[in-house]
This record gives sequence, C-alpha cells and structure tokens, in this order.
Amino acid sequence: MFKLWRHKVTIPQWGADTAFAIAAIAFGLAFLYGALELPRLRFGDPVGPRVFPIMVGSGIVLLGVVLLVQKLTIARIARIEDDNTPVQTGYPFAIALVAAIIAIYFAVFHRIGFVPTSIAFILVIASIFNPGRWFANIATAVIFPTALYIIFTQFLGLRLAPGIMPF
Amino acid sequence: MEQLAQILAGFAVATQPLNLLFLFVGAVLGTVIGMLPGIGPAAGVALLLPVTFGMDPIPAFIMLAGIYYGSMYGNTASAILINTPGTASAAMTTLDGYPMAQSGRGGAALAIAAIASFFAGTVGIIALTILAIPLAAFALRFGPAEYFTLMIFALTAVGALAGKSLAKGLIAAMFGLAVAIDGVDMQTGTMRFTFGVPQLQDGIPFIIVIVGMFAVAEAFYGVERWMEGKLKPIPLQGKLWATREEWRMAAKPIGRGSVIGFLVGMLPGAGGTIATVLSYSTEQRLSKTPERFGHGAPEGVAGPEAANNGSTTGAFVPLLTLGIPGSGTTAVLLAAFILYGIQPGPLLFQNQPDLVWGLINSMYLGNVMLLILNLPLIAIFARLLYAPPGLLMAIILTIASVGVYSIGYSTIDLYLLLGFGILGYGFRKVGVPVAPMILALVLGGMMEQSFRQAMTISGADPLVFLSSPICLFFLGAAFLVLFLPPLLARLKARQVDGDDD
Repeated sequence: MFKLWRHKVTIPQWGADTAFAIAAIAFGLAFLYGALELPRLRFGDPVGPRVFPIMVGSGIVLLGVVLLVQKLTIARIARIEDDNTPVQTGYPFAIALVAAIIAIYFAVFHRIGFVPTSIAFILVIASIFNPGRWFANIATAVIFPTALYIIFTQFLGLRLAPGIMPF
Repeated sequence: MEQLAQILAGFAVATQPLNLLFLFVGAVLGTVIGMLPGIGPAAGVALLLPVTFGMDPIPAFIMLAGIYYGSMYGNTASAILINTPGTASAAMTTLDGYPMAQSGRGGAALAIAAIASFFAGTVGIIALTILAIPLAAFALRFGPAEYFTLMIFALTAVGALAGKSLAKGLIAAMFGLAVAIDGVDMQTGTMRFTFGVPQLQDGIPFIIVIVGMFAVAEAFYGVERWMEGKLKPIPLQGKLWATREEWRMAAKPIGRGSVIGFLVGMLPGAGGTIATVLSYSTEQRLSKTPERFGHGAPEGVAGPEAANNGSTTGAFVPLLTLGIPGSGTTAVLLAAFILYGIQPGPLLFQNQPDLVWGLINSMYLGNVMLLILNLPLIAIFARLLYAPPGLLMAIILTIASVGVYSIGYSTIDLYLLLGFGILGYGFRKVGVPVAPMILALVLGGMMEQSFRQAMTISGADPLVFLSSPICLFFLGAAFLVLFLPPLLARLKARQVDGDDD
C-alpha cells in the first residue's frame, strides 16, 4: 500500500489518444449543448452571443471524431500486426499524491496565510522528493516563502494572504 | 525623419538606469529559466508576470522580453552539459553539444553557442527595426475581416506545426477558444459558461491558464522525471573559448542560422524548434563531412543556436506590428500587454513609440548583457544544474501559487490553477501541444470580436471573409498549412512504395 504511489502505469499510445479523442468529443458535445442554450439576443449584432460558441463546440466534436477514427484505425493495425506499438508511461498515483498536497495547500492558503502554509508545503514536497537533505529542505522552506512575502508586500505593493500572521 | 527620432528616443528610454536594471534582472532570470530543464520561456514569463503588476509598462516589458530571449541563451547549458534541452528549441544543440562536452570541449561548445546567440540576436533586432515600420503601416489596412482571417491562419499554423498530430493541435486551439469565450459577453451582457459562479463572470484570467498549463504541469512532469531517476551533469571542462579551427567551422553556420531563424521565427507556429531543425539539416547538407554531425561538430551547435535566437527576435515582428503572436511565449507576452491595457499592433507604433522602441532597443543592450553573463559567468550559472529537482519543484509551485493568488486574492483561482495544471500534464502525456491552446485563449476574445464586427459591417454576409486579397491570402495560407503536409507525406509514401516495387 505504501509503495502504491510509486506504481508505474503503461498504456499504448493509441489507447491514450483514443481516450483523449473520446474526452474531446464529450467536452465538445457538452459545450455545444451549452452554446445552443444561450439566448439569441442580437441588439444590432446579426451574430449574437451564441454563434461563435456553436462554431467552437462543433469544431471540437468534428476534430475529436477525426482523431478517434485515426486512432481506431491505428489500434486495428496494431492488433493485426501485434508489434511493438509506442507506449505511454506514467505515475498516476504519484501525480495524484502531489495534486492532493497542492489542493490541501490551496484550501488553507487564504485562512492560515501564505508564509506558514508555504513553509509546510515546501517541507512536505521536499521531504518526499528531496529526502535526507534536511538542512537544505528546512532552510529553503523557511527562507524562500518569507523572502517572497517581503518582496511582494513591501517592494511590489501586492497583498498576500497574511492569515494568522500579525503583519 | 520622425521615425528615426522615435528610434533614437527609444535608445534614450532603454538606457535609463531603472530600465537597465530591469533589463539586467530579465537577462539573469532568463538565463536561469532557460538553464533549468523543463521551465521554458513561456512558463518563465508567465510565472514572473505577476511580479510586474505594480511596475510601469516599459520596465515591465523590457524585463519580460529579457526573460524570453535570455532563456534562449540559458537553455544551451543544460543541452550541452546534461544532454537535456532547457527548451524544445535547444533539442538540436544536444546532438553535437553533448558529444563535444563528453570529449572535453564543453567550454568551446558553450562559447560557440553564446557568440552564435549574440550574433543572431543582434542581426534579428536590426531586421526587426527595419521591418517593423513598413509592416505596421501595412497592417493599418486591416479591417475586422482581415484580422479574423489572419487569426484563423495563426491558429491553424500553430495548431498544425506545434505538435506531431494535426488533429490534436487543432483540438488544443479549439479548447483555448472555448475557455476564452467564458464570462460575460460584452456586447449583449449574456453570461456564457459561468455556471452561476460570480468569479467566472469576467472569464478565466489568462494568467491562471498559462501558469497552470506551463508551470504547474511542468512540476507534475518533474515528479515523473524524479521517479525515473536523476540527471547527471557533465562537469564543465576546458577553456571557455573555441579554437581558431572551431571558429572557422562555426562562422558560416552562424550567419545562415541567423537568417533562417529570423525568417522562420516571423511565421506563426513555426518558432524556434522548426528553425533549429531547419538550420541543422541545412548545415549537415552543406557540409563536406556530414558524418561528423551527431559526434561533436561545432557547426551542429553554431547553426541551431543562431537559428534559435534569431527566431526569438523574429517572433516579435508579428507580435508588435500585427498584434498577433506566433508562439506560446509571444502569446504570453500578448496576454501581458492586454493585462496592462495595451493592444500591440500597428497603432502601438503611433500611440506609444516610447514603449515599443524602448523595448526593441533594449534588446541590443540585453544581448550584450547576455553575452557577458553567458561567457565568463556561465560556470557559476551551470551550478544551477545541480539544484535538487525536488526543491525546485516546490519552489516553482509556490511561485505559481503566489502569482495567481495576487491577481484576485481568490481561492477559486488557486483551484483553477490546479485544474489547468492537471489538464496541462494530461495534454503533455497524450502529446497534445499547449501552445495552440494558449494562443487561442489569448486571441479568442479578439477573434470573436473581429468575426462579429465583420458580420455586422457586411449585414451577416459570410462572403465578407473572401472579399479582399488579404483575406484570401490568409485563408489560402491556412488551407495550405492544413492540407499540404499530409498531401506531401502521402505522395512521398506512394513514391517509396513505388521504389520498393
């Protein structure tokens, strides 16, 4: 279970492409539906607010279908020839872990404040991906967000979430 | 005469101490960003864009442009020393740069690359200065229909040329348009795809999408690189200068690469990668000893490096004169202009000559600074290649979060950032190019506006888009970009089949 996040997944490239084509068609259809639901208001504009979105939605669906047909043809050839088709590898669990850490960071960013959350965030990420180098990790985690906060708030005049900090 | 005065005034602007300071900062940051594998110029400019929010536009754009062309210098070091191009356009440099480093000529390869970049950059800026005024004057003839067809051409070209698959590139462009449409329709006040979320009424800010798709996605990709194992840099060996023989071999490729780079850089979609490939293949074809290529030929470093930097200045031509970016990074720069309320294009030369000529002329000085940074100081910068990737990833994510949060102080923006980061990572895994999406995102609003204006003027007659030679030219060019490469590939395949028979 602990090692799951290091699990490597391999899928054929045509499989990844086919999934992308199907996702594009689904998105395009949803977008097209949303565009068709828009009002036909014109106010002297013969096109109105829905024509351009309809064109875009239709374009996505059409191109998605073209890609799907291309990839299904490649898939058929790959099955017939059973050769070494290109593959795509990835670490979905590692990516999901990092995405979850980022989501938690963002969830508390505003409430607790930029500096403390960023210190914790950098420490967590660095302890996973730069293990054993505690001095460098702690020094970076403390100095970097503090310096960034000072630069943004004092020199650039931008506001960053102070959160629980008194200044 | 008035234009000459404006150009000279631009030098006065560029040499102001504050502008020189930001030019230096941009050049240093660009070198660093280019050197770090993965963070390309588009992500670098996007990441640092929020830092410029409190600044005047002139130093801000001088700095952002410095980051762009500075990264083209910096990307050489990682290509030569760790066989990993900092940006895609440095990929050709690895072919001969890395073998040179392996045989103890890393210093010579870096010196050739720096001089080639300087020469091509300077030639490109002179050409930009010469071409900018006539092109901007020509662009004044463009009406909404011409602009719409120009944008069709730009998106088609970037979609077709940015990746390996035409369909994927065009889908990416369409996705960009779909995101650009979101928010209140300015002409009718209709809410489009806001899903009742008040924060989406103004649309999704460019910067969130850009930082997410480039920088956050890059951090996710960094996770994978980390999982696959670490990169081992080759220590810099030998003098940081080439021999007389190496300079002799590099001289002509530098000249040719500069011209190829600038011309290709001006075309939408082509960009640095195609320019470097073209330059490399030209040098290999012209060489009397082509078998040396791939084994440490100085010409294989000189030509592509010159082409790479030449293409960067070339890319400023359509951005500044037409207001149309031709690549991912120039699209980010256009987004920056729009965030400042400035519309690049022909009127920019009339309305804000200080900005445009200050920016162009600062590039001469920027190239000198970069030459200094990339010759005697390159050994110091090269130490960055040893930075732990795990820490770098955390730093990139923190900067990205701060930049996006400082736009609207909204947690929703941060979640959107994460969402686009995941989307960008997914795009990269499937081989969908990001540049067409960013270009479409930035151009989408203008494109719809031009379309609607043209239709209003013509009384809803779609033939308006075929009504002028300029429109026909752009539509014809888009058609060629779409259908010529597959046609040529089919003809070639048929020829090969015929030969086999």
